[in-house]
Amino acid sequence: MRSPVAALTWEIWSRNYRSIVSVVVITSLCALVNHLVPNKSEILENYQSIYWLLMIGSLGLVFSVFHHAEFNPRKNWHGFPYRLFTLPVPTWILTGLPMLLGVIGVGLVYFAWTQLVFAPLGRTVSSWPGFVLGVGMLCYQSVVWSLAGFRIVRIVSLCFLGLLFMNFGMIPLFLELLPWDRETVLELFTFLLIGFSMVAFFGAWFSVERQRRGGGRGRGWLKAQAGRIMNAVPRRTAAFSSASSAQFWFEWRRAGWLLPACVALALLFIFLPVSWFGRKDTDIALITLGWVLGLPLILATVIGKGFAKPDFWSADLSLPAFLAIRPFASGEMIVIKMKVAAMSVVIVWALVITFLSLWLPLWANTRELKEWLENAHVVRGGFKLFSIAVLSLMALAIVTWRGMVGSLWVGLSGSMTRFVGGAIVHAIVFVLAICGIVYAENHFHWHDLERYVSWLAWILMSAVVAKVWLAVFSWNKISPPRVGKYVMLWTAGTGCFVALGLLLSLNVFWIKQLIILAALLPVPLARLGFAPASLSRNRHR
Amino acid sequence: MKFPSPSSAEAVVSIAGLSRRFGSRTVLNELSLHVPRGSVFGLVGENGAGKTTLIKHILGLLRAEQGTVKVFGIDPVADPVSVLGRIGYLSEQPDLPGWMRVDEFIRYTQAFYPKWDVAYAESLRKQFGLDASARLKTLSKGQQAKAGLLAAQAHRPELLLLDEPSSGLDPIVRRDILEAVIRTVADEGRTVFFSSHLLEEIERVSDHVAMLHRGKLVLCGPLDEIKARHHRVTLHFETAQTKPPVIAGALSVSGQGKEWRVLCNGGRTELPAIVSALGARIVEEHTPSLNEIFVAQAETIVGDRPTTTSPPH
Repeated sequence: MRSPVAALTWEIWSRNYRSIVSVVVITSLCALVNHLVPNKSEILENYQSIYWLLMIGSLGLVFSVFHHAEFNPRKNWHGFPYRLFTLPVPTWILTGLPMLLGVIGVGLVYFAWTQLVFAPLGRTVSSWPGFVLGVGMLCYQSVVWSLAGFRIVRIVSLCFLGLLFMNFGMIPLFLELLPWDRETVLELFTFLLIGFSMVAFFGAWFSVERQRRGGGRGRGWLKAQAGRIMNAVPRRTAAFSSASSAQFWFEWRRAGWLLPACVALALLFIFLPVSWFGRKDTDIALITLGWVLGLPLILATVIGKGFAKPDFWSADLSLPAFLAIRPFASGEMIVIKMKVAAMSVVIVWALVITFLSLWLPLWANTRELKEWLENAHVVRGGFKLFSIAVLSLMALAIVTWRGMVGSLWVGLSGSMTRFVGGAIVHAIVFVLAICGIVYAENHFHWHDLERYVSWLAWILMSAVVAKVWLAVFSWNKISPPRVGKYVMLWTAGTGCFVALGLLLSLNVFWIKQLIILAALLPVPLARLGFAPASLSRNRHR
Repeated sequence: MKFPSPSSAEAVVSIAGLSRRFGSRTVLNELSLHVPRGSVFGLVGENGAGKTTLIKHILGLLRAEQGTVKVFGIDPVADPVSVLGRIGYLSEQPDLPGWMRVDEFIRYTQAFYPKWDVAYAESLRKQFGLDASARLKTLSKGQQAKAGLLAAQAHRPELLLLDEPSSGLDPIVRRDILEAVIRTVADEGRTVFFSSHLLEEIERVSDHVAMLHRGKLVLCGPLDEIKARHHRVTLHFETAQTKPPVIAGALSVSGQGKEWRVLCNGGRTELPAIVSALGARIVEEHTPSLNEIFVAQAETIVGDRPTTTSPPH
């Protein structure tokens, strides 16, 4: 291997060959299934959503392959691999090669899906999104490397870029709505995207070159100002009253504040402008309300994966020696994490309620909402409606908390296999749920209702039995006082779900049965019981 | 190999038959060790000998696959809180959270140790020149080591564990660390256990030494005894020797022609007779440094025989 380009390409391959092979296998399998199955229209009708999900997953893997950034513990930043800076290779090759390979990779995968998977099904997919994805890859890499020193800003920028490029990708769908002719619009956007790719390439080259010359990690004036502001913020100067309070402070400062901060930023920079500009539209009000209520759940599920790790920002799952040598029991560490998650959730929902209580009465078009509330008031009565609102809020808070602490038992285990395995199981459950919904939509028959109810009851019953059995198994090594405390909390949380379900459900015996069974599931029990043992194994390997 | 050990009542750390494997590689092999209370125990060994693995077992960060580890008579894995509360630990890379400020780091650490000496911590901070408002990530490597040392020392631990604390640090920080060792020992009943590549440091402050080689303990005991047992002699032969002389108990033999230097372990009384039988006489004798003993022991084990080397021309 005499060429630096070949060596760098080989390095990208050897670090990511599992992901690359996974993409090839997934795409090939789908193409093979299409080739072998005779009834292609049935596939298109029933399983198209799975194909779309797998395609998105494949493209996600390609982005992860060409992410090409590493965590540098000494510099405490995550950016372009520092170790490559000592190679006798110009910076434009160091940055240009992964960018070129990324564009080729994402283009090939998109082409494979459109031509080998969707085309045989008779589904024509435009090549425009493939072009957008290529430019998106360049911008993604550029942002990842350029904003290495600004992790939060980088996440926000990537979210913003993702939304922007989703809109670019969907332009062919809206061509009819635009006042200009199709060719002009596409030409215009093609030039725009070429401009984006030039800026991305030169931006990445410039910033990595600066990093290589010791010119900082995207810091500088802005970072200095941020530091000055942070220094001016009053901070704790008193001693901690106990080890638990010190650990609580540590966990909060490390990862606890992230969820409230993300929710606050989203409310301020997304929902506030959207709600203001759409203040006259009643549909926008309802959609915004739905998203505002769903936002903490979605963010908690995502942030919870990082919160569950010993260090939010590190890919290393082993417990840092700094924590492992503290004379503090592993069980106590779990309790502190649960408390920090609870505080995050309380703040998040306080923010959401504050936003709603300002937006709904002051500038939202609540005509439809009021109508719906009035109808509900007539049907259920004032007290019931109030109870449903309060219990719904509690249920949402509990599910948000579950999102934060649900992965502790795998995140703290120190095992990457378990951690990734847990994420894959979640993804599979998600895909299966979508498949189930699609299947139910296409095959639901009222005359089979009894059979469906029976299946559902058995599934729920099995889940409840498994949960209780695993809970007994997982909590048997934990001290009785702690078990007693959590059982009380679990009972209260589950009671909230049961009460809400009964208030919302129709007065039909079997529906109530199903709701009671389903209400036993959301509040985590067994997985929290496993968490201390999991952390202990990580701490004492 | 068995080494004389203090009784378990005197030992702060008692390790018996400890073995540890990582995959197919045996890192610690049937290791038994006792660290006497009030001693400065130096652990030496080449890279990969198993020093850090041994220290992690003492901290309870690794579980004994085979054998037992007791610290203050307690299993550090079964009861980490009781053990860790009495230990101060500093590693080569202190692994400190970079976002914390120095004063926050001190207050945070203080909360875990009821015996934390606030005045002592503050005096150490001033002595080390640590800015209270500086973030740990902005400190130099030496300053980070000092911050770690402060945290390890300020609760006046019964056992101070230092894992290659001065590797890659400048002489001033190394001096501070050595002073910390001396200060700790000055407090009655406190024990220091530290590993280092810098054998001069170990020799200067340790009273007990253990040497690890490929996971096995090859040397262990009071430093004075070890040094008294080893001796380096220079032999003068009447005629030039083409092959190195074979001497029982010799760890290393080096030289050429008529002059040969021999490092022996024990057998000092028998040596003159052996040398005389070879047709040589002892012209010079001195106590070897720990460094010489370490090199000779390591080379002996690697070659499984006394090492023969020629001096540079």
